[in-house]
Amino acid sequence: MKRNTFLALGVLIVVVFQFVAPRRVLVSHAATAPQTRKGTTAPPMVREIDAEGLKKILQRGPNESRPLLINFWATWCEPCRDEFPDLVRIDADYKGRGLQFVTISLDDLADLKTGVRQFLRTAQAKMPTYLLNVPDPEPAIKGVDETWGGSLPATFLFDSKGQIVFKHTGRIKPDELRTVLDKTLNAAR
Amino acid sequence: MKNHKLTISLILILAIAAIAIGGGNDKPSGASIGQPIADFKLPDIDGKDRSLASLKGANGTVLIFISAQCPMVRAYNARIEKLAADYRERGVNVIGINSNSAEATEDIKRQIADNKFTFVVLRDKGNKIADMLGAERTPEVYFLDAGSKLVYHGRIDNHKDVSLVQSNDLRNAIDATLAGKPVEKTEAAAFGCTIKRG
Repeated sequence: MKRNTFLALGVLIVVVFQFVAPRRVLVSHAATAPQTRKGTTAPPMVREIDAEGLKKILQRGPNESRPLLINFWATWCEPCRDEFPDLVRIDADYKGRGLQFVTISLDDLADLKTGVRQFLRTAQAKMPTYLLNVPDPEPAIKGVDETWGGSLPATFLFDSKGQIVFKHTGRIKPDELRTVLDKTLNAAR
Repeated sequence: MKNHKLTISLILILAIAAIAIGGGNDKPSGASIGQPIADFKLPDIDGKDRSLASLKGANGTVLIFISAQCPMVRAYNARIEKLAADYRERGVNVIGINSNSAEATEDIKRQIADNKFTFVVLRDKGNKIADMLGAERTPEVYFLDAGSKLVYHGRIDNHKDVSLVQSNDLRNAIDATLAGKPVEKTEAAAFGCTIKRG
């Protein structure tokens, strides 16, 4: 009887491990981030860009054929903060599959070294992040997508030819985005 | 017959592609510049039904989508109240509309009291009017002329920091309309909080 109980327990542990294992991979991946002396994750670099800098990111180099996922956010934007863990997971899962992913913060320049970096560090974000600093946001907004009015968060996926194949304002639906990413990355091969 | 079938197939393919590109955005088409805006009714913050017709200004009306929680709106609260005060005597009324499903009436009342709003704020539960106009973010304005025709849509100005404002787009549109001139810049975009639809 005891033997059967131990056997059942063992099977249960193996089954539970199968479900828990994928999460563990993500955690260990995050743990490989550069460490400071105190053992905390090093703050990610955030570069300030203007409208021209954003244009260059969107145009990309002549040899760049990876699909580009671009997310616009701000630390003051609640749904932006809410969706960020999903985006970090998507970055980890798709980076090795040929996706270029950058995020653009719309925070104030004064918050670049403090609030923005702290937020990225806490989120364990690894994707390149830029802070867009423009006197007039209109050209930058329309340079991304003529139909976008500027609501945050906003996520756009450009295929290998630079065409928008997905756009979403408000909190992303991760499954929906992953489906489009799979399709776009498969088409880019 | 074959050509007819081919045309229908192409239309279907294009329609499916358009839906795919729109991917996940429930963005309504909304109002267009030059289009008259139909009268509507919404409850005010005390639950009393108010119509656009009863609140509109003799010379124009500013419909402004606001939020009690959005930090971008907080940066504009004082500017919105000043706008309402500056133009009221010139026959232009400001109407605030809160279409955020998650915001509590108490929070909106506090926003009105803290900022001493002198204009009416309507509650758009179910986003009926936000959908009708195509409003996506806060703050976002729709300026209607005396005949309730949409003549300007978009931002209040170019910067949330009032000391960095260089382009007073909404005021320019109102001033042009009051002077009987066409609005030069009829649409302008700015970053803002997405309206949380219910």
